[in-house]
Amino acid sequence: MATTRLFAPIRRRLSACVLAVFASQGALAQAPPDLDPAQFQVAEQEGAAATALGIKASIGLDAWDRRRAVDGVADAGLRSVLDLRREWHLGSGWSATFSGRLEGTGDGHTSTVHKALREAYVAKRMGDSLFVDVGRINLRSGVASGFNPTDWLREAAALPQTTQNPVSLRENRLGTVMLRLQAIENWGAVQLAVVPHLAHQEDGASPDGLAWERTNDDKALHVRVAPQLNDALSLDLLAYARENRHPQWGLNLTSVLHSALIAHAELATGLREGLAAPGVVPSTHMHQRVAAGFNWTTPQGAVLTVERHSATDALNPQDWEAWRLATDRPTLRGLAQLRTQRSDLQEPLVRDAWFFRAAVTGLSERANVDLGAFVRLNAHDHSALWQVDGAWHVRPRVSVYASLGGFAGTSLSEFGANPTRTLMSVRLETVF
Amino acid sequence: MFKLPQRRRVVAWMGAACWAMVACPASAASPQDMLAASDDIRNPPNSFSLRLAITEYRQGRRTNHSTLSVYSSPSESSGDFRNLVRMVTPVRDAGKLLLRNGGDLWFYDPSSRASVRISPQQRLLGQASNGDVMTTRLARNYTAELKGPEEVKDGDGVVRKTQRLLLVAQRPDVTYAQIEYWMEDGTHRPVMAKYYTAENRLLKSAWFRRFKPALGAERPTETVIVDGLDPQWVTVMQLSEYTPRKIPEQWLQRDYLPRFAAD
Repeated sequence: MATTRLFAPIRRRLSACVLAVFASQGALAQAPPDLDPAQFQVAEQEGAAATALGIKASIGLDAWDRRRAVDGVADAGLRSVLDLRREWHLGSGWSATFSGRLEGTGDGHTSTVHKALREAYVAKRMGDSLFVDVGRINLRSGVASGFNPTDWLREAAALPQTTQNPVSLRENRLGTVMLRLQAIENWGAVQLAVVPHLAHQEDGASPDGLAWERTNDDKALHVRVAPQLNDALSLDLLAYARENRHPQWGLNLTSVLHSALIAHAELATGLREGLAAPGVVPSTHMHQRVAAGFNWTTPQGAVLTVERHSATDALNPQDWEAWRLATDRPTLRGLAQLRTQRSDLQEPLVRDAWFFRAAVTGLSERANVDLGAFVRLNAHDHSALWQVDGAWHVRPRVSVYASLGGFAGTSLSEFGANPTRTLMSVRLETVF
Repeated sequence: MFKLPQRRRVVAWMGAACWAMVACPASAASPQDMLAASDDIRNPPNSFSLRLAITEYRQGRRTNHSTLSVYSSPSESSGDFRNLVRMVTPVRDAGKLLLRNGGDLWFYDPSSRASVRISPQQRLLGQASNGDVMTTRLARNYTAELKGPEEVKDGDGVVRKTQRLLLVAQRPDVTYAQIEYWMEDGTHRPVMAKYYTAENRLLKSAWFRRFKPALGAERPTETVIVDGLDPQWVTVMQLSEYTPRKIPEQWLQRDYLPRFAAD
């Protein structure tokens, strides 16, 4: 396609720039400070506190380079977003929180508007250490970066976005309506969330508006205990029970190995129906999901993350190979559905994966450029999902964000089978 | 065997003692005590809050400015300070929080409503590392060795007589592996510090200046930090609005971060 030729040089140049930036981060020069600190005199009491209303408005352009044309879908489109996150402290221990997103997209032929209520709840402090929250709340769990096995409430909560960045996906998702009780004591914290049933889930339910059917289709209980251990180790113990599903148990662990090195491990276990080879009836067994790795801060300030993901309920190498080698139409259709379903739910398709990320903040002479890149690698077929993100903070309230991402691999691989080869997004955002 | 008469021996001992007192005035206190005394000048003894302004310069031009509120409380068990830092400006970072209990450091972003564990060396505030904006008692985390007297220029260009200490981290989770630390002779006022990695690479140099009365003592209200790799990258940290205040224990727990409301 024509857009392929357009994207190729951009991809090469951007990759070269990213490599150059990270390479320059690694170049050491033992330069002693030779400046006179006396020349840096700053006026006192400068920089009055700015008022933040919690409103972000952005307008941007998305473009896709597709492996094959998708009927009725354009290769580029405009996107405008109005995003509000605000908290009000009402006195006497009461507070209220609202978080919503209004998004309009258009490609010259069609236009759509999405409204999403991410959060809306009231909170009350009862005594010294007990807190009660009621409403739609985004309850997140997990210490890993690329995949959170214990973040059970993420399923079906994602909002439509161009980015595949796990950080953005975690930010922009629907909360779940719940009653949450939390006690924070000197020994640690304990939290109980009770999720009511509000609506029935239907296939393809839209994330628009209230979308109770996506987040509250069953009753559920979520428990988290976080004892204060010591400076080096943090621990969360979690349990999750949802109507019509088996209880799940989880553990989050982080440890400081060095002033620049943090290790983390996230584990979930419970009875689950696993994925199976085509034609094989899936069975329910005890399954484990693990995301473990480390974050290292280089002396130059870049943060590097390496993570290994494993989910025993996802396809093992033999079953994945069986799906890939199938040639009959029903199986191919089944594989396409399976891919889409697992991607929509942000669930792993194959058992083993790697996740790598590099991020650096405060680049450029004005220290106002942030850069990040990540790769999610299928450990069996070596296909990859990758993305490079850049943010240029032009002024304190104005930023330009750009991202270039893609799905790489052979046509029979997990990511290489995606109809999109490359996607690019640029947006201008202002904060009020 | 050569033997001095009793009276001459007493005189010789007294002479040697006087010489030692004159030649080594700082040796009266141990290096660790000297460091603790310098910590007491940098930090008030009890819980307090302050305002921190961070201004960055590149090639001599001002490029960035941010402000933070810092809440510090000494730990009864470790004796070191626990810190809660709230970002005030720029507005895109307003409301972000940093919590530190020793090597336990958490970053909370209200956009994602998630608390993420980060390393003390990770930079979220430009050139200043997270450890730099926190109140710390060096004597609790480093073993000090006296290297001797030196004359150095302070942050205002004035030459001062100092004692140089070499500080070695007592644990691997401490922000810097080694620090060279210069304190003014007699007063123990911090003058200058150089921070190194475990591989002995210079990370940054800092000068402490503008001593002013704050919560019962004259304390440095400005720190000038020069990057070890790029000397043209300079950060000035200004401390003001020292206020004694009770910091509730809850504020210093990661689970409280989403509920923290600045007053």
